[in-house]
Amino acid sequence: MASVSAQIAHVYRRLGIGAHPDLVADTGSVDEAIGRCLDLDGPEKAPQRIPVPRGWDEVYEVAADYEPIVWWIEAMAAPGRLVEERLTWFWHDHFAVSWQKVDHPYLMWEHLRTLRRHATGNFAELLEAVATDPAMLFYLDGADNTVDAPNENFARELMELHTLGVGHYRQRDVVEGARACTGWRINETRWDDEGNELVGSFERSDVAPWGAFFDPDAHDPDTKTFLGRTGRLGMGDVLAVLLDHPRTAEFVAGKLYRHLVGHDPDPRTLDRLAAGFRRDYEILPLVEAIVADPAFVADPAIRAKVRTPVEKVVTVFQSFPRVADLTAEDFGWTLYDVFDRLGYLPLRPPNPAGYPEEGRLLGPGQLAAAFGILDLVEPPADDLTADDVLDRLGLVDAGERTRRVLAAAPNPALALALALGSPEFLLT
Amino acid sequence: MNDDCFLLTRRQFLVGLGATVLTAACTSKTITVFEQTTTTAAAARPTIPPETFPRVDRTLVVVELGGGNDALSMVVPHADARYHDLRPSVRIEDPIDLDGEIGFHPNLARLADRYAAGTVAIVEGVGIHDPDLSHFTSMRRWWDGTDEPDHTGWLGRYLDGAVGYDDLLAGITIGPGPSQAMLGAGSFVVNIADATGLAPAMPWWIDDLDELFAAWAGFVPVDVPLDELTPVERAIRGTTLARADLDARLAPLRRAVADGDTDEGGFVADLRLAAALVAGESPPKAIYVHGHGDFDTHEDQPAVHGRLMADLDAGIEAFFETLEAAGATDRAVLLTTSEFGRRPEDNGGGTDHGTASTLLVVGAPVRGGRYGEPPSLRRLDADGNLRHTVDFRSVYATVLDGWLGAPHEEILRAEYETLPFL
Repeated sequence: MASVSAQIAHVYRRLGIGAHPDLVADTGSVDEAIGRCLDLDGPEKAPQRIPVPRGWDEVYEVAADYEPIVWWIEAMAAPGRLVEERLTWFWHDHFAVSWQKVDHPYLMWEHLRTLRRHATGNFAELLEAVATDPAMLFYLDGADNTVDAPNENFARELMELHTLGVGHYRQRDVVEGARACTGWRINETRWDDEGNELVGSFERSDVAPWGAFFDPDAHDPDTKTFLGRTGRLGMGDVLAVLLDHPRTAEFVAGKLYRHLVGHDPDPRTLDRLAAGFRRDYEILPLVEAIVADPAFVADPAIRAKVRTPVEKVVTVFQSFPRVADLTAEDFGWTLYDVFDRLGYLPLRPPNPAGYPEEGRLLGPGQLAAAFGILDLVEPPADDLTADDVLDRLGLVDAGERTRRVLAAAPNPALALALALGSPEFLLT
Repeated sequence: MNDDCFLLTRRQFLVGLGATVLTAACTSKTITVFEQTTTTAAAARPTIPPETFPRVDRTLVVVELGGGNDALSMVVPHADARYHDLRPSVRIEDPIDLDGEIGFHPNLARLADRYAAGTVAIVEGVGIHDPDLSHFTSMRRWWDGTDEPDHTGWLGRYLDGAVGYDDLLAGITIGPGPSQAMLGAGSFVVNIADATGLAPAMPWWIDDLDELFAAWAGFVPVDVPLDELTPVERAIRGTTLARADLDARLAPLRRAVADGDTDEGGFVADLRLAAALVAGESPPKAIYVHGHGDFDTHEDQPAVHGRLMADLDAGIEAFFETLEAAGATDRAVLLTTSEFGRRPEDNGGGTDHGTASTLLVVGAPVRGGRYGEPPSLRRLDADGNLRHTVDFRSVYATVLDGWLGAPHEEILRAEYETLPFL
């Protein structure tokens, strides 16, 4: 059985984003580690102020691509509100939306804020907030889904990826669900007859600029039949049907269990978790039920997953000081490039199913590129030992071979680089 | 804890999108590490041993057009009035006519020249049986290439039987990460994003990559062969062994990039990189290009798809131009794939998920022309989609048998009719 210190580091890696070395050193038991991860009393990171763009010319000026990534990674690396960070990332992967297509920095910031606001709250509220989130309406074409031109993109992924999972609906439900979800639009700027944008003037004065609103004229008012329910259904009805469907709680609870534990729950555990979750869709009690399962800290869970690039970067930032002689902008673009080379840019998932995981993170290209993370930190001090490196990175349970390889390194710089390539660091 | 206890054993590790039942031998107990989520995995199949298939000096380059390429806008059935009726918002008005019936998208002008020269096969009506219109299950089926999937991909099984671990650069994936299509049970695949290959951008305080990679290899016991290592150990050893060789092969291309001769992105950069590998020493047997462009054109299709077609045309041109300059046109065949085609009837601005698609096979060894059978635009299925006329495995079977010289039945686990384009 793994040592208590190894289990403590494991808890921080899974319930937070990384095993913060100061927390690991200061924690005496697994229960204490779990308690500190679930503690939401600490201060929230102050949100970055983003000006509301008054027109399309300003849309690309309000924030550079790297800014929310830096802000978010800093929030993840902080020693408080750990489960909020874990869950915000989980929901970003679950409700994947990409900057690439949305192409609207302000709305991506707002989207991130929406995810964080609901991350530890209620899944039903989160689902509703995301379904009418402007970035999601752009990403899965909900904003173009109208009575005259119904678009199936959102309705399909809502069922396949967000609630039921593939195989629990028919193409007819996609078509009817899409019709029901018609009418949601985004409050954009107005244009004059010559095709000039009326900067600062938005279509609806009663809706926030770039906010989502329901336009009855764009909605299909006729009868639809969606997953067995018939009526003049709208988006709210579709979400209600999905939340009432037993498969939704099972799908989401099973996915969160796999995410936190690293393997599937046994069928009885899944039934129990899903039944509890379905009662009120409160997210934190579900997390508490999952981590209360002895499997969470049992040996098969420890290092059963491949560490993601975000987890690697956050762990390095928790352990070593950031490079000092770069401007904020240069640092931001360097961070952006590191993630880009790893094929894993926050806020840019490769497709609506979210980020690659497990073996798809173990390609030689990704292993080699991960050394580039070191570009973001100061060179290690001359007196840093191999054991210090392992302790700082939370690798308290590194094996003999790893310790030998690091001890043989001619200098601390190489020892640090090697630690990032060690089997123990590559897994989590 | 035992040094290697937590590391999964090789055959049991899941790689890829979905899932399979995996167990890890850790001391004497069995651990379920991942479980099946959507499909039923076949019982573990024996790995096809290396030297089962001949080692041909040929390369297959697969270009995956992810998201569902709208085949009806790539190869346009312009003579069919029904096409124009179904697509008031997204029809292509000015295709490059090929034979009075079909025409290429106007942005595929250089490909049209190659078609005229007889080196482009257009395979129409290609699809999967019982399609469910999901990106993710459809992709998996294209990667698997079999109705009895395990965690391997069709090209991975080819690499198992053709080279095994004898050549670590026989399979190269170009794009943001590995592809399940290339994943074997007994072979290695290197993924690279660009011409920097496996040379990471390092801080100034680590200046000797050779030293780093040599020490890094020390994490893996030297006396254990690659196929007996855990996935993590195998990835480390494979990467340390492949880096220098790959680096040497990519050096000329890197110099050209540095000189500013090439500053393209997208398909052009990827396919120039692929061509450099084919034209160089010991070319890979299979190159898989993926992750470029979003072909999921539910909205704004004419503009978005038009740009993708222009990029594809430029990429294919860059690929063959490079091979022609190197006198290496007889070395490679290029195949495009996509998880599905799109709905024949448009949705007002784009097209929703569909079924049958059109594939392109390009290269000097290809017998150009039209193959397969164009699906009827009148006899659509219950969802308003095309009924496929060619199983996608027939295309795979043709390139496996006819180009790579590997009997397709062993790789695809069933027999399929081949097409005469090779």
